[in-house]
Amino acid sequence: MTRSPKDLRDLAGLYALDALEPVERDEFERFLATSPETQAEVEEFRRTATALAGAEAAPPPAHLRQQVLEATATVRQERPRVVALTRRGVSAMTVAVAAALVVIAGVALVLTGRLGEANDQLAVLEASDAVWVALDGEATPNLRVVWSASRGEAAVVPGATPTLPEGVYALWNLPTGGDPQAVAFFDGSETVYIDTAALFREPEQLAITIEPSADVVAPTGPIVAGPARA
Amino acid sequence: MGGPNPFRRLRRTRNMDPARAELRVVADPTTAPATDELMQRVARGDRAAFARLYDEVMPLVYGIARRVVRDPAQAEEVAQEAMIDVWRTAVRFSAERGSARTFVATIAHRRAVDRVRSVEASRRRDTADARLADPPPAVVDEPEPAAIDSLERHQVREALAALTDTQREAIVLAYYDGRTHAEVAALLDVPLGTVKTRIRDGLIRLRDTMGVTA
Repeated sequence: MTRSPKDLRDLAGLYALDALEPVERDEFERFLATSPETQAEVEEFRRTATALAGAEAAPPPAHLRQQVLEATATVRQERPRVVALTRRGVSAMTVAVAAALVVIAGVALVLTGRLGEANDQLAVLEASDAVWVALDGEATPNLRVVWSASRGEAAVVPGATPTLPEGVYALWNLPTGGDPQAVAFFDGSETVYIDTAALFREPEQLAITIEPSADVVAPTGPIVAGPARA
Repeated sequence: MGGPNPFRRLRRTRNMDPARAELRVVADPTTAPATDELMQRVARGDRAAFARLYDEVMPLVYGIARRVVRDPAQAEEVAQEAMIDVWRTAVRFSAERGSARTFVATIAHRRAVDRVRSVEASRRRDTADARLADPPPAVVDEPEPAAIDSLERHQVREALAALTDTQREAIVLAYYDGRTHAEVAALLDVPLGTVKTRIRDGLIRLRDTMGVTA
């Protein structure tokens, strides 16, 4: 069954209360991704639902605390979403309204997709507080990381076509006195944009390794670029 | 940059309506920013922050789990699963989009509802007819002895009391009992569209009432 956008938007309240049937929920979520107005409405209804939940707050059994803390010790956290610009924003609904040729660090990127998204993503490269970090290394010639504190975003910009025989590149933040923190996994073929707001206010040292897969929780491969201070 | 930025527009919309902006304060005026900060540290893998977050939000998580699934042993499991989800998916939290409490409550309620539906789906279908003959459920429960008596509880009870009976009934069945809108419609013997309207109108009224009293 296909619903109109208005009909779908009217489901925001049911969605926020988890009262949709699974099929409807999936359909609504696909619509939600395209509608900032509905996202704002869902968020408001969820705040209301949170108050309903808060009214039921009750002291949890004491033994649960240790149980939960021990259980999470072995649970790997999701990593931030990594979005490749050229794969984003192109759908049947989207007409490519802009194609721009931008030259960054000697690499030409053809940008397609919705203009707003392209602009949003480019903004990190042009932010007034953008910090460029060159990570030179044998396997990653002229690879650069640009990061903006005000936007809470970073981008990895390949400077030349790198050779990656197998595995993936991993970009790590190396906090002083802390464990290396995975920032992004990428193949180096295109610029990737990273939402770093949840990861760090500012990176300390950045380094790149080659890893067998994007499942590693700590660097296992040798450092192929960096470390460099942001 | 000339293109439209949907997120900027979203923020402007919120700022235009002071009543709605205040609603954020309802949840917890003193600890909300601190909880958001903890959540951001958890997203960076900070286990000490997670332990503190646990202390802050677990009463909320356990409370809603117990309310929805009812059985205490299952509520414990659901609450534990929800907290592990919070740890695992912390990176999805964005303080710009909503508070940490809302992020956590959303996860906990979804988990509780999933549990209720998987366990009770078949039983509910079998007994739906029998339940229709039952008197309508009490819509505002008396606080249980173990419940935390809070300003929030008081505000929510007042806000629920300000709804029409039919709105309150539909919202309580959907949120606190974890029913789908189709189940609510069957239980109340009203059309789907009616349930949708009652829940939507009721939520808007709750939102506005709690915003005003903040």
